[in-house]
Amino acid sequence: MRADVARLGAFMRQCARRPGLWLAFLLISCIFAMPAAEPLFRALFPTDPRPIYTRASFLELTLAHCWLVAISSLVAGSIGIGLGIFVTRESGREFAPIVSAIAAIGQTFPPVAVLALAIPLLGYGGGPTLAALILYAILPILEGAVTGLRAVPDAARDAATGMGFDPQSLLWRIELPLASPFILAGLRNAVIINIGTATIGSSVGALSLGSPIIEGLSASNPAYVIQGATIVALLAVVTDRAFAWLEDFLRPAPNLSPKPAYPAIGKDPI
Amino acid sequence: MIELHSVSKHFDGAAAVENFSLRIEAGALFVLIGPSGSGKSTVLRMINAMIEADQGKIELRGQDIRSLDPVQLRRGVGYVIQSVGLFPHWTIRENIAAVPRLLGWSDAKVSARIDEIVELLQIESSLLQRFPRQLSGGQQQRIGVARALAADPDIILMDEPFAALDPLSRAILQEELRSLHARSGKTIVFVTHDMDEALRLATNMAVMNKGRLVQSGAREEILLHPANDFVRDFFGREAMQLRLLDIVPVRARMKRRWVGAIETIAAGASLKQALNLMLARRCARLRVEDESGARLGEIDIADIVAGGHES
Amino acid sequence: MTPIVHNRVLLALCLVGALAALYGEFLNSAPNRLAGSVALPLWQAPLLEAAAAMAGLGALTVLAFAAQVKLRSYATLLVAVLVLWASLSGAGHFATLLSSASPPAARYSLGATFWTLVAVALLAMLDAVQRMKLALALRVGLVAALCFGFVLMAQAGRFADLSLAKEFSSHRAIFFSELGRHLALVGAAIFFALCMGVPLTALVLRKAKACGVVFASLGIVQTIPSIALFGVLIAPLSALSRDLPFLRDLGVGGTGPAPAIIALTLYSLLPLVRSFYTGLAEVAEDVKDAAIGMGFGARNLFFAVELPLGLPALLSGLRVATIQAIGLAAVAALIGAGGLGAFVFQGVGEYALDLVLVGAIPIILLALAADFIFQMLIASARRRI
Repeated sequence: MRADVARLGAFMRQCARRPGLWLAFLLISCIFAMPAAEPLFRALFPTDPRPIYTRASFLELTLAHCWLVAISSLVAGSIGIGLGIFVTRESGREFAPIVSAIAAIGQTFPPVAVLALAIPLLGYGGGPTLAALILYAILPILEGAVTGLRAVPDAARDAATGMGFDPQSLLWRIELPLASPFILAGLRNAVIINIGTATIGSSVGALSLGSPIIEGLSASNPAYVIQGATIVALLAVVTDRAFAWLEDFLRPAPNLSPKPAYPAIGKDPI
Repeated sequence: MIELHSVSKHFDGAAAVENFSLRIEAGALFVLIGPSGSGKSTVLRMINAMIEADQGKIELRGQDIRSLDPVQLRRGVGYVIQSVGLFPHWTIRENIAAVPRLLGWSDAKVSARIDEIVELLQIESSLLQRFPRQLSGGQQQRIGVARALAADPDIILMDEPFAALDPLSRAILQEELRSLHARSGKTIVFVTHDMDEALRLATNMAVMNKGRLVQSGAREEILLHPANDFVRDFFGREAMQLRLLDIVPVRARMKRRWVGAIETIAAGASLKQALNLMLARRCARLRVEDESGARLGEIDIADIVAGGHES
Repeated sequence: MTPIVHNRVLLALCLVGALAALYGEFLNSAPNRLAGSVALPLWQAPLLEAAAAMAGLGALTVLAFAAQVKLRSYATLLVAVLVLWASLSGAGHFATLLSSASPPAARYSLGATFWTLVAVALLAMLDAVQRMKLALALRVGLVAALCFGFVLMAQAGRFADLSLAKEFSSHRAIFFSELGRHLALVGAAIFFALCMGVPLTALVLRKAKACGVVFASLGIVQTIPSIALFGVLIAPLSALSRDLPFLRDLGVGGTGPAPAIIALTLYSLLPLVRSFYTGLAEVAEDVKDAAIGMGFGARNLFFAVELPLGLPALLSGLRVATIQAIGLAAVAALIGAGGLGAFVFQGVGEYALDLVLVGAIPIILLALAADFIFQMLIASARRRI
């Protein structure tokens, strides 16, 4: 009995040390309990007749948002990784500069413009938003894939080919696993960018956590803006923390990490 | 075993290998030696089809390599490179098991083979669970050799494998390779630009220069009868006799007599080591023993000088 | 003898261009701004330019099989310029011909074929320039010549009848003021970010403990979606400006440039500080040791040794921050801060896609120009080390 309590205590202390879990808890409570905060908003904005966004529940909005981000990230992931693989093969090498030039220029397009230009092709709503999200997510994933695949040590590749690895085994068993930290970093980047872009998607009629924000801005209702902004900000931070945890968890060896370790240059000069 | 017929390869218009013909017998430790840029690595990489020859034919175990599937060919041939190329994300055990797994061996067979290799190459079993970056350069290359031997190929290709190691590791691995070759009878094709390494290891050699074959044959043949000035200069004209001392074993010159020498030397040691011991102990005569310590005879300084070869 | 393709990129581009020319719409014509449009393919365009475009594509396809790199690249450049001219001039000429025979409300907008041909021409030029390793000065000269040619055509009224040009001229006055506002937003954000970022970097360098906290908080800010951050700042800022009238006089309010500049500054901090920190951390230890040994105090060390040596890294961070800010400032239009984003959102609201382009194209060009300028600065800073 005492051992169980001790173990529970240790577990709780472990949880307390992880900020990500606290933020996730906060996120979930905001999603479900936002209407319960009505008195708070009424106090902050006494002139507002309807301080809580009611056009759709926050759960619906969050799910729609996550759905947009998830689908687009998966599609962009396949395209980005596929292009990255192509561009690092013998046959695709000459396409590398052009592909990265196109992706880089694509990244300078403001997200709203991509959304707007997709309208004649795909109409209003989720369609253009999804298209914009996919296009946006391709660059970071492509960059991650190319950096990761180029970081595979030449000696390992040479040895593998000489030992008799066929091109597919080489790719799946050696190159992709070694490139995976970089690809994961690129994916993380892409997902965070997409969470932001999906928010703007509400301006072309997509249902997302940006809907209360956009509506609040056009109707000068700051309560709606804060509600939407808080939840989407928490969503972004929690997702980022989740990816960070995933990166740590999957790291096969500590110094294959792509992020430069911020060294402690703690020397105070004399 | 391996035959090259008039093989040529050009890169960007310059000839890396020109009209190269060679025959490597089974069981030889065949060293390709020459200065940097002489085409030795290119020839090696043509044998396992990493590079395709522009002209000429290469036969492996009697078959034209062009008619073979390159991937299958490479799985049947061991390959060791200077930079080792261990896979950073796999443990040592997984690295060694790479080719057997590609060939589809069962887990039990792979496990048994790894135990054999660990025994054969004297690898500490604690290393098996570690990752490559936790090993020193010498340890890594030992694993590189282990990896090449894992599927028990009858041919092993080695491209300057010990060139990047510190002298001690290099000496240890050279000696181990020599004894491994003697015990297993595998065919080893070894590329190096270090003539001491070549002389220490080779049974047969081919000297290359600027993509062409200059001379090939048994080690003693090349040392004693160099074909031209290039070969002579390559092995160092002045120190030729000392190099020969390095190759000839004591048992070849010892005499069966007993005059009462005190310092001992093994029968398998080289004349160079015998001379070194004589200088160190300031005596002109050594007692020769075999591995078990039994007396076989004696060698004195006159024996060493008397057999000096014409060069 | 099967012909060998020596430039597969060029061949791929030509294929895309050919598909666009055959199946796409070169211009879209609509009776007025709001009605649906009719697609007009390339071969209905004026003969000279249409033929030139097709011939150019054909020539590029043939060039893809040429082996000689230098010759092929020069030829590719020439033919690509021809295709570019043909597309631009053709579109403008076509619009002019059509509008002379139809009511003034009719709109002729650029279609997918036009954009594809322009992209194909520019990418073919980029590819050629890279393959022949053209000197930097010549590259700049080429870009300048293209811009000059474009401006000449515009001045001559070539593009006057395209809906994009009409939209631009009808918003001309506001355009330049919004452009100015956009640049002001970016400029202010970068200025404040520098003022805060340089001391912050110095702090992080000296105190290792601060490292974790600073980068973690900046990292969190970076993940927050831009519009969320803009939105969250509105309420407190409007409350502040209500209670402190001097802020209202300064122009700080809930909506408007204030929340935008604050948010943009916060977003610019991370790339700036991270880049500068990494650059300074790499400044050789022995250089610093020598300086300290010679008697440089902490402040002197920073300004005389570390800052100059860390300059390329600082500029690199500035480059990322600036390009990011140029893009983010587009969203600022939603909270009333103005800027080129205003045209984009207005265009979305009115379903006038040409207006969206009037906002989007300058943003892209600004970002590319900033990228180019910073790369020049970084290269010159590197050379001086």
